[in-house]
Order: sequence, then structure tokens, then C-alpha cells
Amino acid sequence: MLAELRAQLRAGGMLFARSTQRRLAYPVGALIDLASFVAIFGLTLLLWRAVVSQGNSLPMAWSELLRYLCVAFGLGYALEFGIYPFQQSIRTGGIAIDLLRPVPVTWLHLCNCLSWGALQAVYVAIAAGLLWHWIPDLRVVTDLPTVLALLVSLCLAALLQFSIFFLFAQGSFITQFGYGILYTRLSLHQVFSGAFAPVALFPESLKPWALALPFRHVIDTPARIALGMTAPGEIPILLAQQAAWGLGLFLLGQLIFDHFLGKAQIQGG
Amino acid sequence: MTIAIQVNDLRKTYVQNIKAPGLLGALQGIFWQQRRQVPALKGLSFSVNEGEAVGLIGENGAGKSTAMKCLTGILRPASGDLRVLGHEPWRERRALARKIGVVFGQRPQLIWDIAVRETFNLNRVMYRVEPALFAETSALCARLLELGPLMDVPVRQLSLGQRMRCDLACAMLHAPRIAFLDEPTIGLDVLAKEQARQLIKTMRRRFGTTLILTTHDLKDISDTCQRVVVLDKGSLLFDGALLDFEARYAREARMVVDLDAPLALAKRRSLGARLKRHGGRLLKSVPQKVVVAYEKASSIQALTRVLLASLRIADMTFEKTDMETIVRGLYAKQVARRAR
Amino acid sequence: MRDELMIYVTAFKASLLARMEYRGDLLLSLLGGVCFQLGPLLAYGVLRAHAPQLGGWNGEEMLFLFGMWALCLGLSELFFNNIWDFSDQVLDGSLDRLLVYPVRSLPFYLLCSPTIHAFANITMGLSMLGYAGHALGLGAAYWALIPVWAACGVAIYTGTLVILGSTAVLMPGRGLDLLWLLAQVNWAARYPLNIYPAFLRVALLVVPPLGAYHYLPGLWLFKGGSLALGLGAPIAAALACGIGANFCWNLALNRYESTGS
Repeated sequence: MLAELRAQLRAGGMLFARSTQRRLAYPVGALIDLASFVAIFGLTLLLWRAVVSQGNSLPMAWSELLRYLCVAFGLGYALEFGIYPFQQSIRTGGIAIDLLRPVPVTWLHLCNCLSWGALQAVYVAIAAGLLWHWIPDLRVVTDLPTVLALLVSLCLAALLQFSIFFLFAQGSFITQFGYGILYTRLSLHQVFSGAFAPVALFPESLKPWALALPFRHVIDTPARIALGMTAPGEIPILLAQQAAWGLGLFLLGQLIFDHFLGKAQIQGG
Repeated sequence: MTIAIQVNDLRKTYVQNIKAPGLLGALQGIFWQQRRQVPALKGLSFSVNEGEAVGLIGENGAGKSTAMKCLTGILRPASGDLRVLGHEPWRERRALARKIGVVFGQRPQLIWDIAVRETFNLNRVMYRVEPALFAETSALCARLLELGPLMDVPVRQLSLGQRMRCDLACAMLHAPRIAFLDEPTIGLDVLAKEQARQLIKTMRRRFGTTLILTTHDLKDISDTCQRVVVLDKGSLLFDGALLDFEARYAREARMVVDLDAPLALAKRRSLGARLKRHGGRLLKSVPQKVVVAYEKASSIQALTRVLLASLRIADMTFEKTDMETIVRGLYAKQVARRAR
Repeated sequence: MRDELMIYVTAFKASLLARMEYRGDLLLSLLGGVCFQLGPLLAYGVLRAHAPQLGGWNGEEMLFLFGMWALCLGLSELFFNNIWDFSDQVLDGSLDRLLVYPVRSLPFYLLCSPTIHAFANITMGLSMLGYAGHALGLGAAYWALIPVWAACGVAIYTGTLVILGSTAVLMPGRGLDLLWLLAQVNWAARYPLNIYPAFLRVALLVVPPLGAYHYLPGLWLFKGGSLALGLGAPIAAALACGIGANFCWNLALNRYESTGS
């Protein structure tokens, strides 16, 4: 049992490394990817600054909003996994190759996604290092219990994000093509995760939706923990909610995947 | 005779990135990449007359597909003169495309999600095929390749062999003046391969189609081509008639002798020595069968006498060396030469 | 000319048939398209909850910007979406097929991958434009010029995509990232450009002119700008993008190095 686990972990490590290597094979592309992130980040900041500079009152100060948006964008970028190849492999029948590997398909794609995220996290760290001097108060929590909670929250956010991706990607079993699913997920994520604005700024009509859906736990929750924006005693509840969503959707994704696999059609040579 | 293809000193070089292994290598690749120039074609020259059927063969990486892509206008050559039906392919790609048919065995042109018939219709419009011609070619393809039941099936639901047959038909619908077929029989079973060859031969007979064929199945070439061009690492190794090719490289022929009774080991040894004296070589000797290889036709009589005198023969056949064996020997020679 | 047009119509029809082959996909794509527009609208709702006006543009005026943006995006996705696959096709060599067809490669290539969710974008765009026009009491000139601006918008957005997409030949593997970058910038360009610093505003009106087909017409319609700016500039930008796209595309094809057999 232990030996099997060790073997799977080793295989996972190798998959992680190969996947990172694959992404680094196109260094210019990685730089453009980063530029894309900086562009959307900068433009959103300018948008919010325009709102603030017109004298509109916000429930949080500009400096606080700025800190939140910086962290939220960093998280959003690091957790924007490339799951599209999975959808493609379902459509073209390439999933047959994945099934032949002696590791579970979920594990295979989790490793790919994590390597994707890890590399983007490195870029974010570099960007954060550069921004440190220019953005005032870009400080995060430093007390040990909250830092530990933040680390747990980040891991759970990664799990949740992967589970959401994996679940949505399986729509390709029904739809063959994947754009509809891709855009539905992307739009829901963009609004409700907190990438565009903290959930606290949502109008009252939207807030219940944001609180009921899992997306906010990908960005809003870890961002609030990182910036110390949580109420006393709220962190354990947030972590529990993150874990419940993450594990629940992961298991659901696995169940649906097993179900579809039994019905999958891979025709021709 | 009109010249369909004229190639003079054609060269093409690819640039390859060399990556150091492992994660460190990948990181290093971000800042510094080593590059290598790989010559794919090294001054290729040949010409093809209209109506000719030419088989292009060579080992993997010999430059067959690169030559094919230069000829069809997909690739721009590094240097050299290239004319196909009077066009410079990469510069006048569109005008040339109307006159040629192309099959890439690995990259079919069928539209994946919809019925085969839809791709046929698209090609009819795209190549501006006259209705009478379309009726004739599509009927011909349907009959020879047995496409009838496949026409209304979405491509994704066809087997590899069925897809290949449909793809070959697609390339022939407009009765092209030149058909460039890059591994057209890949994935086909024996019967389907025969059908594909039959279609190629019929198209050539009916429309005088010039044929340029690359394949690893040499039966395709011996069945459909009169001329063969052999490439080796981007250079021309042989260019001539198929018969000349066999005459030059098929030095050996074989006699296969079935025996009435098993041959004793001692007798086998002495037989080997006697055959050698008359220019023969005991290639294989199992208890009731003997295979003798010989180089010159003049030695047949002497060798036959030796065999008749030494063995109790039940049956005897003479075999010409097949294409496969010739080419295998040729490739092996090239590999050995490069190793030296 | 008629024959030529017939080729593209047939190619488009065949590709559309391919997309409509999957019923589930058709429905989900339409839903995805609605979500794709709802997302920004909800984001706009979040903004509006705190800022009734943005850069001096009220809600209905901003709906014009959003509507024109959505309409042009939808039309570009419906007719000319294939450029998004260009990077992959360069990598796996499947572009070979295109190069042996007797057609003008750029329009043929672009037409071969319509997306269904574009219908939702187009519907949403038209609805927003309709509402904005009705609420603001805009006259006949507004309704008559919408197709012109839309055509300009499609040419500008698609042309810019083609210019950037063509670089996939020079940078195999990640050319798609440039398109994402453009899509992100385009996303931000639908807000009133005067909220951005001057250098950015100029950039979004010149290189790439993503604001030229809605912001400049908006200035003419609502802020007293000149007709030359509201109509002439979008047409000029569309022509420049079209010519640039054709040039870059041909350059890319001449440098294309196919892969494998």
C-alpha cells in the first residue's frame, strides 16, 4: 500500500517536472502570457481608480481595494490552470492514451495543472517582488497561525479550482466541442471568484449568488485571509467551506468521469 | 513529351532547437538556446514528364516529404529552381493547387465532424469541377473504393482505413494533372490497398494523371510506377526506370528446392562447397528445403546440375528478388557507409 | 467572382454543419455565449453599484459601447474564428492541407471555424444596442450606421487577431498567448476610454485601434464629436487592419516550415 502510494507520488513528481519542462519549451510564450496578466491587471486597476477618483463612495478604502486586487490577480493568475488539453483529448479520442498510462487520469491532469500553477506562481512572485516598492501597504499577514491557515487555504483553493475545471471539462463527453463549457466556466469564475472585485463590493442582489457558489473560495477567501480582512473566528469556517467544496466537487468529478468513461466512444484508428 | 516537374539543385534547410535534458535544461532554454541547421534537401535535381508515374523512396528522414512539400508549394525552398506545370509552387500556390491533387496519409482533408459527402461537395465547389466530370470521378471512386455506404457517415465514425479511402477519393475528384500521394495506403488492409492502387491506375489511364508517390509499402510502387527516385539524406541516390533499379541493385536471385527426403548434415556441408564453386550460395537449408542464392544468370545451368546430381528433388522454383529485399539491402548499405 | 464567393459560402456552410452536428454542444455553446456576455454585464453591475457614471458616460451610453463590442466580437467569432487554432496548426503541421487548396488562403482559413456561442454574443449585442438607441432616443442615422460600425469593428478585431496570430510561425508553440493578450485588452477597451491615462487611450485608438469602432462613434453620438471621427476614423482603422492582416498572413505563410510527413 505504502509502496504503491510512493510509486504514484514519484510518477506524479515526474509528470509535474515533464509538464513544467513542456511549458518552458516556449519561453517567449510564457513572457507574453505574463504580459497578458499584467495588461488585464493594470486595466482593471485603472478602471477601479476611475470609479474612486470620481468621488464615489466605496465600502472599503482605495488602498485596501488596491491590496485586495493585487493579491486577487496574483492568485487568479497562478490558479488559471490549462485544462483545455484535457477537453481536447476527450473530443479527439486522445484520452485513450491517458487511459493506457499506469496512473489514474485524474492524477495525471492534477499534476499537469499543478505544474502549470507552480510556474505561474513563480511569475507572480517575481511580479510581486517588483511591485513591492511601488504599491503602498502591499503587506500580507505575518502571524504564524494565519500564515499556516493561508497555506492551507491556498492548497484548498488549488484543489477546488482543479475540481471545478475537471468537472466542467467533462462536459466534452456530452458536447464534443468545448467552447460553450469553457466560456460558461470562465464567465462565472470572472465574476463570482472575486477576481474582478471583492465579494464585499457586490451589490446586494448579487451577493447571495456569490456566497452560494463555490467560486469565491478560489480567490476571495484566500485573498481575504492573506490580507487579514477576515472577522475574528471566521477563518476556520472559511477553510471548512473551502475543504467541503474542494473535496465534494473532486469526488463528484471523479464519479462523473468514471460514469462517462464507461460510455465513451473512441472510434477509428 | 511535356515536362510536368522540373527540379534543379533544390535545397531546403531546417533549423532545430537543441534542448538540454531535464528541468534545468528547460530553465536554461529560457535564456539561451542552441540551434542547429539540418539540411533536408541537398541540391536535388530531376524532372518528370507529364503522364509519368514516379515512386519516391528513401529511409525515414531522407527528405521525401520535404521534397513533396516543396513541389506542392507548402514549403519555400532555400534555393534552387523548381517548376511544376509551369508554376513556381510557393509563389503561385493557388494556381498550381487547382491542377494538382494531394494526399497526406497522416493528415486527411476530410471534415471530421460531418458526413463524407459534405467534403466531396466542398471540393467540387473549391476545385470548380464540371458536373459531368464530378459525376464520372465520384462514381469511379465510389465503385473502385467501395465508398457507397460511407458517404453519409460522419468522418469521426469511420475506421482509419475507411477514412484513408475517402481521402484518396477526395484528392481525385477534380481529375488532377498531377497527383502527389504521400503514404496514401497507410492503415489500409491488403484488399483496400489493392483497391487504392486500382484507382490510381485507372485515373492514370483515363486522365493521364502524372503520379508522384511516396510510400514505405514498396508494392505500391512496383504496382503503379515505372520510375523510381531514391533519396538518401536529402541527396539523390538513384533515378531511373524501375527495371533498371532492379537490375542494378537486385544482384541476386534465388532457387527454392523442395526435397523428397530430409538432407543429412554432412551432405548439406558438401553441397554448400560445391555450389560455391559455381557461383552459388546456400542461403537456407532446413531438412526438406534448400534455398540457393546466385548472382549471375550464367551460373544457373551449372548450379541446377549440381542440385539435380546431389538431391532428390520434389519441386523447384526460381525467385526474382522482390523490391522490399532490394531496398532493405540498399538502406543497410547506406547505413553501413555512413557509419564508416 | 461568383464562383470565388461560392467557395467561401460552401466552406462556411460545411464548417457550420460540423458545429451543429452536436446538439448538446449547440445548446451549451449558446448558454456559454449568454454567460460570456452576462459575466461582463454583472461586472458592470458591480461597478455601477458604486459609480452611476463612468468618465461622464451614463448607463445607456455605456450600453452602446458594450453592445457594439459584443456585436463585433460575436460577428468575428461567427465568421472568422479559426485564427485561434492557427498556433496549434502551425505546430502540428496541419496547415499543409490549407496550402494545397486552390483558394485565397486567408478568407478560406478564417471562415472554417464558426463558433455557435457567437449567436448569443450577437443577440446580446443587438439587444443592448437596441435598448441604448431606444432609451437615448437616437435617430435614423444611428440605426443606419450600426452595420457600418459593426463591419469596421469586425475588420479591426479580426485583422488585429490575424496580425498577432501570424507570429505563431515565428514563435511556434505560444502564438495563442498573443491572441489572449489582445482579447484581454479588447475586454478593457469597451469601457469609456477617457477613464484611462492619455497614453493608453491613444494606444487603444491607434495600435491596436480596438476603441475605434465603438468609442469614437460614441463620442460623435453622445459627446459632440465630429462625424469624421465617428465614421471616418473607424473606416480608416478597419482598412489599415485589413491590409496589415493580409500582409502579415502572406509573410507568415512564406516562412511556414511544415512538420513531419
